[in-house]
Order: sequence, then C-alpha cells, then structure tokens
Amino acid sequence: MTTTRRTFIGTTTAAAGALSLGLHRGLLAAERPVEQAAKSLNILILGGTTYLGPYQIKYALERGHKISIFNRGKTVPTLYPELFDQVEKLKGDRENDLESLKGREWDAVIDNSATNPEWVHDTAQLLKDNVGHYLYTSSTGAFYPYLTHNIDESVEVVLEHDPEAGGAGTYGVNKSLSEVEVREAFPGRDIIIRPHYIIGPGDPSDRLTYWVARIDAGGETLMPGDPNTQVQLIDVRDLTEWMIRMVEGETTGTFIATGPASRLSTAELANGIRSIVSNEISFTWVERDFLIANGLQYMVPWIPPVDDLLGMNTINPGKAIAHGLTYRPLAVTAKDNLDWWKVQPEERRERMGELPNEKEIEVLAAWHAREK
Amino acid sequence: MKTTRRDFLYTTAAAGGALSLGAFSDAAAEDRHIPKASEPLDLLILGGSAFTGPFQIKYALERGHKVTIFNRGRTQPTMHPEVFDQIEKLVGDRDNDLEALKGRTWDAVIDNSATRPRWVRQSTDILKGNCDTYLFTSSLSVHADFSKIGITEDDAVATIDDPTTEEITGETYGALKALSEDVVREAFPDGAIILRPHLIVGPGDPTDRWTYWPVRVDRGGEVMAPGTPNDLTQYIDTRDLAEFGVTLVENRSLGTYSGVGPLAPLNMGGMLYGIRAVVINEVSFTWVPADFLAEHEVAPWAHMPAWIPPEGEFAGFGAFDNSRSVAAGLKYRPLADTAKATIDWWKAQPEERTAEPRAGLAPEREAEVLAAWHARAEESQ
Repeated sequence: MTTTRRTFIGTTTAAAGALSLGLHRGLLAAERPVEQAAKSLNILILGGTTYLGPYQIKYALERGHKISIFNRGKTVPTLYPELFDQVEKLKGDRENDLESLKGREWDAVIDNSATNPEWVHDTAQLLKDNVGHYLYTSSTGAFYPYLTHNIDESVEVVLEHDPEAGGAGTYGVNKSLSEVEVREAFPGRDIIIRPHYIIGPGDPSDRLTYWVARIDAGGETLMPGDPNTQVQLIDVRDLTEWMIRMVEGETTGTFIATGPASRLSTAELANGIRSIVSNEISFTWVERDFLIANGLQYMVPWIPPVDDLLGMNTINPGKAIAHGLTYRPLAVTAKDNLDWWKVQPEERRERMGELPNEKEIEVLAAWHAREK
Repeated sequence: MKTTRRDFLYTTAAAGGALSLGAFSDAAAEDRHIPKASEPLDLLILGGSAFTGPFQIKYALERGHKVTIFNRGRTQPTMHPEVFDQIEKLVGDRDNDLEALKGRTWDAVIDNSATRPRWVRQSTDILKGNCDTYLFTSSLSVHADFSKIGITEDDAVATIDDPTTEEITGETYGALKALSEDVVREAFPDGAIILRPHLIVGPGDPTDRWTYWPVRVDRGGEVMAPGTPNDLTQYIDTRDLAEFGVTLVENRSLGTYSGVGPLAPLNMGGMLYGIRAVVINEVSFTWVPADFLAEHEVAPWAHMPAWIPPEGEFAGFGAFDNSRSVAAGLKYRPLADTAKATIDWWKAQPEERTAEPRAGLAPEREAEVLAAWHARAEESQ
C-alpha cells in the first residue's frame, strides 16, 4: 500500500496541484467547440514544430484542413506530439534546401520561421505560382522605435538598417524587409500578421510563465513600476486560431495582433493572474526608476513606456478585431499556462530556477531599506 | 449600543426567502475528487434548502455521510436539486413545531436557519441529549466594534437592550445572533461549534450583493469602482463555507470561527481586476472617491457591494482575521472560480429573476454618477 500511495503522489504532482487550486477545466477553460471550415484547404506550414505550429496544426485539423509542414526535422514537438502523425512532413532547410517544396501546390502557406528576409524571398519566389495565400508571421517589432501611442497599421516602419539601432532595431527591420518580400511575391494574396508578445502554454521564452509561476509561488511579490501602466500580450491560441481563419477567408493585408481588446494595466494583469490561485500573497509595487537603477530594465510584458519604447504597449489591435481576432479570458490563459508549467520536466523548469529569484529578493530588500 | 447600528451582513427575510427559479448545476463541483471521510456521520441540517445548504448536503454526501434535513418544506431547492433525493426530509417549523426531531439521534446538527435565540433554544432543548455536536451558523455581524483591523473570534460581541425582541432588523440582527450563540454554548458545553460567516457569495446567492460585481464587469463598458483600489474587501464563497462547516463537524473542532476569506488580504482593485480576468470584453474601471459617492447618495455595501470605506466605524470590515479558521481547515477556491461560477449561475436564471437585481447600482444611476464625476474632474482642470 505504501508503494502504491507513493507512486500515486509521485506521478500526479500536476493533478494534485491543479486540484488544490480548486479550478476546474470544465468551468474556466470553456473552449468553444471548433466548427468545420466551409471548405477544406491544403495548408503548408514553414516551421511548425515548436510553439505556434502545434496550435495551428491542431486547430486546422479540427477545421477540416490538410497540413504539410516543412522544417529540418530536428525539433521534436512537445506540444500535441500526437498530431504530427496526421500531417505530411517535408524535410529541408530555409537556408539552402527547398527541394521538397518544388512542384507542389497548396491553398496557403504559413511562414512562422523566418526573421531573415532572404529566407522569405526564396520561399515566396518559389511558391508564388503554386500557392494561393502567403501568411507571414511578422511582429509588432516592425514598429520599432515605438515613438507614439496608439500605433496602428498605417504607421510607417523602418526599412533600412541602422548600425546604431541595436538588437531591437535589427530585428524590426528584418521583419519589415521580410514583409516586403511577401508583398512583392504575393501582391493581393499576402497576409502579414504582426503579433505582440505571444504567451501561453508552451511559450519557450517563459514570459507570462514567469508571472504565473511567481504569483503561484506566493509571498511578497515584486511588481514593477506604476500599477496603471498598460501591458499587451496575445495568447498563442488566440493568435494561431485566428491565423487559420484568416487563410480561410479572402481578406489580405497587414494586421497587428495584440490584446486584450481593451486596455489592460499591470495591476489588472497581476490581479487577474492572482485570481486563479488561492495563496498567501502580497504585491509590492516598486518604482520604475528604482528598478532600473537596480538592474531591472523590464519584466515582460511590463516595459517602461519611455523613449524608443514609449508606445510599445499601447498598440491598436482594432483592425484585427474587426477581422475576427478573438480572445480568451486572462484567467484561462494564466491557468493553462500555469498548468502547463507544472508538468514540465525538471530540466526545463530549472531554466527559471527557484522563485522568488535572488534578484527579486535583493531588489525588494533594497526597496524596503530605502523606505526606512 | 448605538441605535443607529447598521448591519451589512444581515439580509432581509424577503431577499433571503425569495426563490430563484431555474436549476443550476454547478459545473465546478462536478469534476473534483473528494475523498471519503474516515468515519461516516449521521448529520442533521436545520434549513438546508436555501443558499449554503445544498452545497453542504452535496459535500457531506460526497464525504460519505448520511444527511437529514429539517425545514418547512416550502423552499424548492434550485442548487443541486438532485441531492435532495438522497437525503431524509423532515418537515416542521423552527417556530413551535419540532415534533419531527423528537426521539431521534444524530452525530451532529448543523443549524443554518436560526436568527432568534428562542428558535435556537427550542432546537437545542430537543437535540442536546441526542446529538454530540451542534454547529451554529452565526454571522460576523455579532461583533460590537468593526473599527479594529484584524478582528478575531475573541473580540467582544454586540449586546442588546431587549434580549427578548424578535424583530430582526439591521440594529438587532448581530446581537440576536450573539445571544443565539450563547444558547448553543450553554446547551452543548462539550459540543458547540460557532461559525461566523462574512458576506456569503457565489452561485445561488439570493441577495445579488456580491453577484453585482461579476455581472457588472461581464456587462463591460465603463464600470464605476468605489473608493480606491487599495480599500480592503472580504467575503466567503458559499461552497467554501459549506465545506468548512462539514470539516469542522467531522473533526469536532469545537469553538468559534470567523468564516471569512480570501486567504490573503485582497483589495477592491484585486477583486475587480480578478473578476475581469474571467470575462472577455471591452471594460474599464473608474475609481470614484468615497466622499463623492456619499454626496451622490451611492451607499457603501447596498449600492457598492462588498465595499465599505476603510475608515471610522467600519475600518476593519474588510480585515477580519481568518487564521483560526485556516488552521482548522478552511480552504478557499480561487477568486476566478467564484466569479465564473457566479456569472454562469446568473446567466442560467430566468429573466424574471435577473430583471431587477436586489442589490447594487442600477445602470442609469451608475451612468449618472459617472457623468457627474467626469464633469467635476474636467472642472477642476
């Protein structure tokens, strides 16, 4: 009996954790039933195995589409691995091996995997006569520097590299130049999606994951800057499902993809995440200048709205909403993100380390010392 | 005792007894794994069909207990009506008709339905030799002084000039609950459990008080939020309260408990932003200071439920100490669960139930006060 009991506890850490939260998937994660698309499409996904791809594949299959994926075959999918038996897998390399794409036809291609304009040039030119629509996953990073609030699709982007601009500038220009390649090869058949921070279960970069794991850990929690500062983000599932609906439709053009629909403050984000747990927790809001002086420049999705990042989190998603972008409630995103995090293997979780981390403890101590 | 004593937890009999039509199945409760209690008990619940009762019954059955309820048989249960087929139903009246309880024994009785000491005395007189444990559902309204931060179970209770009064009003409710507690303690010197809930909220709430907030936030648009985001608030989910009562009885954790949550201090900002997290719509919050609300006759609690300006007479109303209850096993559902279950329940109610909510601020009044607030803010610029 003892062994059985231990086994039970050992293998159901995640389930036990979920139970103690008292949240029930049936209640909160009220997933809408997915309807079949009016017409079944053949869709090619460039990339497809890491983060956006598995969700695109899942939703596209549910909508009745057929999927081919093209990649190096090196990434073993961890999200919905079972779905990959139902897709055609084409091997190659964006850098120098597009052979397997030649002589094939698709209704649409979704390009998730390029930040290099030359890669986009090569695939777009190769596919332009055999593929209906080209959906390119760009980024709101194309708008860097974010010098105004309420940036929308009419704001011009920088198309020339500036050696002084740094990483954000290089990334943004590469995304913008990649967009140009798509528009040139697929005039009137281009769908350019510019997502903001893509967060949710499976996020390889631990952005919202840090917040949900931190708030779940409880205790005195450092909160950055002014509680009223706006933040923006988009659930990976809201983004990818909308992308599939976009390639099903006739609408083309350029779209910002961020959320939520109405302004979300840092306090609303933090307390929204808090709403999915029940624990001993308090938030200590530490002023921006103090954080910066102590080496905390930002805590994504919180970005101090100053200088070249002024309007980074006040971007206008109105056009995408008008074209069918929908959102899950924050509590669903946060809960699913946390549940996913809790079942990650130890080696994956080690990347984040113990929470609260030493930096947070140190900054909070310094903040309290200053208050005295 | 001040004659102007206002009572925020007391609910009028009209609201309390009003029926909500339309059954609602609480989806959240369905997929939880609840282990059986080590020792099954025979439980008697006085009341049992209104707000918290059905959740107590459901949980008690899941824990493997046998349940008998005693009431007038007039209230048609709408929450978990299915559990009422699995229990014994005794019909009588707290007021002078307790025949059905005579000559019966139970391990424990849970008394949900008494507001008058005389009613409690009638039932304890009959049950004191026949039950080991008597849990009395009292109220945090018993306290004499709500100005203290961190009120505990040991703080003083209110008194009343005429302890024989049977008129339940905002002035008498708390003191009569306190006197009722004493009746139970005297009758069950080795078996009394007094559970004092704060504002009881969640699916099935007949009063529409806390319900106002999830329903209002779900409707979206500009939401008038009272006071400041930092004003503390408290409440207790009816399901958490129900389960805690059963836990206390199972463990025979005798004594007095404040039934209040959430676990850690929560302010109005935390509550409203947490509620926002379960909906998806266009919504924003405009925080209007307490004095402006007062000028415009927006009442704390009645119009702005779960909120009282955290100063003066009621400074501690959002800051009761919950540590004794937590140590005794009170568990809290997350706010998102409470909010979502409340919205789902509300939306499942028929039109005639939701057309005129019994608490909160009417949309026109809210719009009016918001307009006045914006006009004033513009003037001062």
